[in-house]
Amino acid sequence: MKIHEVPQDSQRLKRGDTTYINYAVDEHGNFVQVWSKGWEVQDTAMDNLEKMFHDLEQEALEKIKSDEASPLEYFMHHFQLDLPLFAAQMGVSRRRIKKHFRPDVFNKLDDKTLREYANFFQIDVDTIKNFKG
Amino acid sequence: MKNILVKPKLSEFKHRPSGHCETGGTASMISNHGMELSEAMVLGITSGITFFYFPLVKIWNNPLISYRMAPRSMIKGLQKRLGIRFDMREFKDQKEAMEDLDRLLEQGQAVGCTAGISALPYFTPEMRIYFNAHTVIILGKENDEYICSDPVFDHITRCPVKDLQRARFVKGANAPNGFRWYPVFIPDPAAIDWKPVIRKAVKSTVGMMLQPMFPFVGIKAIHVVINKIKKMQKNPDKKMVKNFLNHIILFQEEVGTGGGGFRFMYAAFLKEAYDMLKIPELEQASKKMLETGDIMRNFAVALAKVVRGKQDPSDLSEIIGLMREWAKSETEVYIILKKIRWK
Repeated sequence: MKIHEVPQDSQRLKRGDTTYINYAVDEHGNFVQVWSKGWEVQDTAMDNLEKMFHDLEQEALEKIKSDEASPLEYFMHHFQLDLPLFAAQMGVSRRRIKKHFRPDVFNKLDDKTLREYANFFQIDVDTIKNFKG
Repeated sequence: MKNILVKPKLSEFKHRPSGHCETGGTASMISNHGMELSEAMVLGITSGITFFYFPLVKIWNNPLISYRMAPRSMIKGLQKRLGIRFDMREFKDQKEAMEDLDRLLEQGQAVGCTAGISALPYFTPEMRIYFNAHTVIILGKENDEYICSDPVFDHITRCPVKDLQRARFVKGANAPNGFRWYPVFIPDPAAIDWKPVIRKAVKSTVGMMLQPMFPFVGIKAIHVVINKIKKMQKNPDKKMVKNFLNHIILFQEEVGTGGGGFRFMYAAFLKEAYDMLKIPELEQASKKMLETGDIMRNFAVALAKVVRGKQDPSDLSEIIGLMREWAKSETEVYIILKKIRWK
């Protein structure tokens, strides 16, 4: 990669201050560190990932409305997690979380368990408890 | 060997933005403590480059693809190859870990910490991926906030105490368990014999990448992925195919500098090694590695085309072609390196 080939075409403002340092060669063949503002291809990947989770979110919302799923499933996808990752990050078994996806089980959950989830997502207990979609 | 470690004042700690968190963090720490070491050199010396495809571990429903060695291998590699000694420790008790950190900061010691990105508030919410082995250097404490030198930011950042504690004890794969480290012994770079150090590092990388036994590591793994993509052309579930290809881009270019980035960095290491040892093959390999990086970038562009829907996922011949080219080019690099006569 030459210096002028270092991508500077990211359209995403959401990246914040995260910087990308790329290694490129100058005209003498020496390696230099070059700042990059991000790359279109990276944007595509992130957008697609977001879209994937957005679809899952919508699916979960539908399910909540027809009383087939608990708000937990929505929040899981909202924070870009899938079940194995969620269980690993929470440090509990997948089976337990899957059980809590059922609305009848979720409605009976005590505050302590709900607070665990709320702490993990860093939101209020009430938000997760009274979520109606 | 003589210890040349000089403790820098915390206010004079030079923040060095770098391409990748772990190599950058360790390089920055060691450079600030008296031994000038570049990020690329850390990557090379610790044999940090790899290609790893492991379908048994799934992330977002897709197999794990990695272009670097496991987290912490770089800190351990520096100990092994260069004889630098780190004081490393893990904690079970969260309170104890934070008290230990405060004590070290009071003594004027910069401390490297492993933290989960998902809990670090100075990343924007969109960037907070669930990666548990990010490296941050803590430089001090001010009004319930830690001053952090994060290698992927261009400026010094701040992190509230509560959040750092959460980040240091996230659960899941690669859980940090409050891991912290700082150098206690740094040998004199003039007294180090660099030739055997670089020989061992290069040989280890070459051996791993060209190994013929395990299908999930090295060039062999690239061919496994090629075959997988080939089969995907007949897959009627186009959304799934797109998600898999998107997953490759994510891990190649977005998460942790990515593959193309690592290839360029390794090329920089080979060039630096050539400047040091004057072995012509090293420069030749560096140039070839640079080409490999460029091919990988083209590969990512081709993948993005399919993901964006500009090309039909039932015809992936362009991607397969580029991937074969990449595998061939990278193999050549390692064959050049393998044939070097170290004396």
